[in-house]
Formats: sequence, C-alpha cells, structure tokens
Amino acid sequence: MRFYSLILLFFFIKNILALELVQGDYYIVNSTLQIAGGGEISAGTMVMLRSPEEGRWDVQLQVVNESGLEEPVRVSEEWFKKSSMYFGPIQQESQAQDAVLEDLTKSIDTQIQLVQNEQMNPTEKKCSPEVSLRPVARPAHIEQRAELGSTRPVPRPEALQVDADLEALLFKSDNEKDSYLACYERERSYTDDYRNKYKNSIAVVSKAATTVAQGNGERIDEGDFNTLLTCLIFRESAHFEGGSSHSGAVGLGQFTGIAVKELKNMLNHSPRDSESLDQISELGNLWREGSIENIDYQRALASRVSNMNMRSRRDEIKAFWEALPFEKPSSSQINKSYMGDNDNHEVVIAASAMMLRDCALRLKNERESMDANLRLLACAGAYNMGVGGFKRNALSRNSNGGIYAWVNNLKNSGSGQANETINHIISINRCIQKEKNYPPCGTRSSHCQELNQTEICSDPKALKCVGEC
Amino acid sequence: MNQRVGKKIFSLLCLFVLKSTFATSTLDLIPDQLDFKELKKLESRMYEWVQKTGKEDLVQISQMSQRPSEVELIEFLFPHLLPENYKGRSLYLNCFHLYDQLSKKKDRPSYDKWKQCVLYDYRQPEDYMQDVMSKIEKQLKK
Repeated sequence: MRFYSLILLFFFIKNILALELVQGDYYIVNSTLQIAGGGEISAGTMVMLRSPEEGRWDVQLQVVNESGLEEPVRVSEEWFKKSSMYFGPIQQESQAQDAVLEDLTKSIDTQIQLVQNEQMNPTEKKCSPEVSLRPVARPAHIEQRAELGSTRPVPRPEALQVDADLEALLFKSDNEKDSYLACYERERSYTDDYRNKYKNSIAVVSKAATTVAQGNGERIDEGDFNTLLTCLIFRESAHFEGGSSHSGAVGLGQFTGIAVKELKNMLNHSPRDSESLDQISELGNLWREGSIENIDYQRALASRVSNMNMRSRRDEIKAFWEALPFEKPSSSQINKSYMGDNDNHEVVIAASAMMLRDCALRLKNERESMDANLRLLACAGAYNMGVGGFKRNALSRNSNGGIYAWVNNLKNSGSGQANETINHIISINRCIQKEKNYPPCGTRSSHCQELNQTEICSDPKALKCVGEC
Repeated sequence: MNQRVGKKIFSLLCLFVLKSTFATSTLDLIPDQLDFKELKKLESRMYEWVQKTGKEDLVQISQMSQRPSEVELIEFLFPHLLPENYKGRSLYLNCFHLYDQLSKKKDRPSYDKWKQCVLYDYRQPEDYMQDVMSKIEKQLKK
C-alpha cells in the first residue's frame, strides 16, 4: 500500500512540475518539436525558455549550442509542455565546457584565416608549380578538437527521404505481387479464392477505373492501380478472409455502415450529361458480352469520357460504375449484408476502387502538385482513417514528402488512430513496393523461403511498423 | 482511521493519475454539459481566442501538425472563424453547413446528416469528436 502511494505521489508531483514554465530556465526536448514558420527542434536538444506569456498559444525558445544561445523561435506551448523535460537554471559553465568552447573558437578562427588567405592570393596558390594540388592535412589542433567533443547529446540525422520515396513509388509487377501474397497467406483456401475469383475482378475493375481516369486526364498506370487495389483488399480483408471486424466493418472491402451510405450517394448521383453515360454503359455491356476486344473497349471508353461534360468528381465515379462489365445492383439493393458477402466480390472490389478514386480526385483538386501514384498511396491510407482525418493528421505537412513524411506527421498528430493508420499504410506500402518483400505489420512469412527477403530490422532505411524491431 | 484517510488519498491519487493519463487537452475544452447554449458560448470563447491569436499566427499554425487544442476544436466545429488563407479551411468547412442547420433546427434529421458527413470525413473520429457528437445527440428535440 505504502509503495503504491509513493509511486502515485511521484506521478502527482511530476504532473505538477511538468506544468511549470519558468522564464530563463532550461529544458530538454524529448521528442521533436515543430517550429512556427518552419523547421524543428530535435529530441535531445537543450533549450532556454525565453517568454512564457499567459494565455498565448506559443512560447519562445532559444536552442543552446556550443557557442551560446541561438535566435529565438516559437513553438506551441501545449506541445512544448508535452515534449520537454524541466532541466533547471544553469548557473555556470563547467571547466570542461569552457575548454571545449575555447578550443572550438580557436579552430574556427584558424579556418577563417585559411579561407581568407586563399581568397587573397587565389592565382598564386592554385597555379604556382610549387603548390601541390594534393589535399593538405588538417592542422593538428583541428584534429584534436574532434576528439574533445561535447558531452551534450547530438541530434541523430534523419534518414534520406528522397530515395526512399522514389523506391516506394515503384510498384510490384503482377507476378511479384502474387508471390508476395502467397508468401504471407493465412489460409490456403483464402489464397485460392483470390487466384480463382478476386484476381480477375480486380483486373477488370482496374482496367475500367484507369481507362475512365485516363479519359479524364489522369496519368495513371493500370498495373500500378491493380497492385495497389489488390494490396488494399489483401490488407482490409485480413489476407482475403473478408469477415466482420470488431468495429462492424464487413467483407473484402471492410465497409462500415457509413461507407455503405456514401457508396449509395455515389451511385445515386446523376450526371447532367446522361447521353455520354448511356454510351459508356453500352460499352460496358458490349465488353461483358465479349462483343468487343479489351483494347477497343479501352480506346472507345477513354474517348467517350474525354468528350463527356464533367461537372463534378462524382460524374467520373458514376462513369466508372457504368463502364463496369458485370451485372450491377441498384443502390437500394446495396446494404451491409450485401457488401459483407464475398460472393459479391465484383461489386465490393469495384466499390473499394470507387472510394479510392473519389479520394484521389479530392486530393487532385486540393493538391495539384501531388503525383498520381503518391495520391493513390495516400488514399489507401485514407481508406482506413477517412479522407478528412488522413489529410489533417498525415498530410498536414510536406504532403509530397511521401510515406516517410506522412508517418512522421501521424506520429506527431496526437490522433488516437495514428498507430493503426501507420501500420495500415506501411503494410500496404510493403505489399506494393517493388523488390522488397517485408511482411505486413503484425505478420510473419511461413511460405516464402524462395522470395528475396531482407531482415527488416537490419535495414535502416525501411519504415518500421509500430512496436516492430 | 489512518487507514481510511490513506485509502481516500490513494483513491484521489488514482483518479488524478487516471485523469492525467487519459484526458486529452481538446476534451478539456469541452464542458460536461454541452447543450446548444453552451455551444454558442464555446463559439464566443473560440472567437475571442482567434482574435487574440491573430490571422498571421493562425496561418502559421495551419502549416504545423503540432497545433494547439483550440485550433482542433475550431477546425471541427467553427471553421468559419478561421481566416481565408488558413491551410485546409475549405476541407474543414465540408460539414459546416450541416452543423449550421443542426444548430438552428436542433432535430434528429439534421443531426444525422451532420454526423454522416463527419463520419465520412473522419472514418474513425477522434475521441473529442465522438464526445461532442454524443453530447449534442442528448440535446436533440424529442
């Protein structure tokens, strides 16, 4: 009893102390803090609190470095309280710190002197035959400085993002994707269902969706869309099982009641250009009957869509629905039990594709500079969190930065769904990513000895799921 | 006697720790009794906060993911208070016309429309959003 009381008392005191902001005192930042106007303060940095003003949203901080205090910056007061630890006032620099600072000042002076000398006599130094072009060894005292080092924590450099993002946007081919799915199969019968039924539906839906999108001016690859849609269904349906989840989502596309309503809204939408829509529907019927070849269907469909008078993004979604070459239910027939039945896989997969495309069109309107594949990947994330939630929590900063930036934003968002969405989007990214075969979050492979795999924890560039490694 | 006092202190401390563990700051801004009158008061408080913070700061805040709780609440319920060039303002205004209707009519159909819009935008709404929704639902006209 006494032991627990002491622990609770400790928390109590810690809570009170954590709220205290003392002007002029020092704090240690223990998770990255965003600076208003751009930039961030890394974890492990020591800062001095400059001005905690009562009732304001921000506080002013000065980062402490070897040469003293940097320019003041502003961060959210709430996040500063959440992400920092009270260090206390600093009375006096220790002798060791003084020595480091003195040495640093000396070496900077020497380097400035060297640069100045070079600038004063550039021709003499570079062209004179006596002067060797070989690199000159650093003066001894500069080498010594490196050994001295500061005891302060050095912020870890972040992984390079550009290369990683480019890699993340190279999608697996059809064969690579199927090997991956087989590798992480949960039950043989589920994988068989994919091979015998769902795979063809995904292919048909992908062809129709991308042809309509291309007709509407989108640069989108059918194979990439197919891979992403497959990986999304794989993830959502728990490796093609397609049951019900604890949250009430059902089937291969894990449709919730609200998503079913939204789907019905999409289907009930009536584009003004009904003539084009009828022609598109007729093309879908011809393809279903086998009266036209795939290539003719695609050409005719893209051409009709490009001539369609589109007034909203829902016009494109409706055109896609009409272009599908299978029996389609009316919106009144669609309900949760219909969407939860795996025998309705064609319609369920088409509905998931409609959600993806609807989201991609929303992002296209609001973020014109975003690459089509990047939007697709973002929409796979939004499928889990909702478009608004994903935009707010994952695309809040540097939305073109790709999955690394989004995961970082999600980590900092404070959202209760952040971890789930991080694992969701990392799993889909691992499934689509070319030449990489990392497992979906929370799973291990048991059927893929022949697949080229790298140990995830030993790859510093690989994004890690929450709690992995 | 001492044991009783000890138990009480223990319970109080438990409550405090639980509260500090689970409470989020946005939830703290929302009063326990959130009827439509309280929502008006909350809107006035947020309006004052917006005025105090100023347009320039708000635009800077809109570029950050580490934002104050007040801003989260404003984006969700009162996005019309945000300045024109606030990043993502149009997105936050998505469901506002429905909220506006709801606050005028205070009836079930308006509530359902608004809730559907919120749930579509945020497939898994944040805790404070669900808290606000359930509190509003309790205040609807019978």
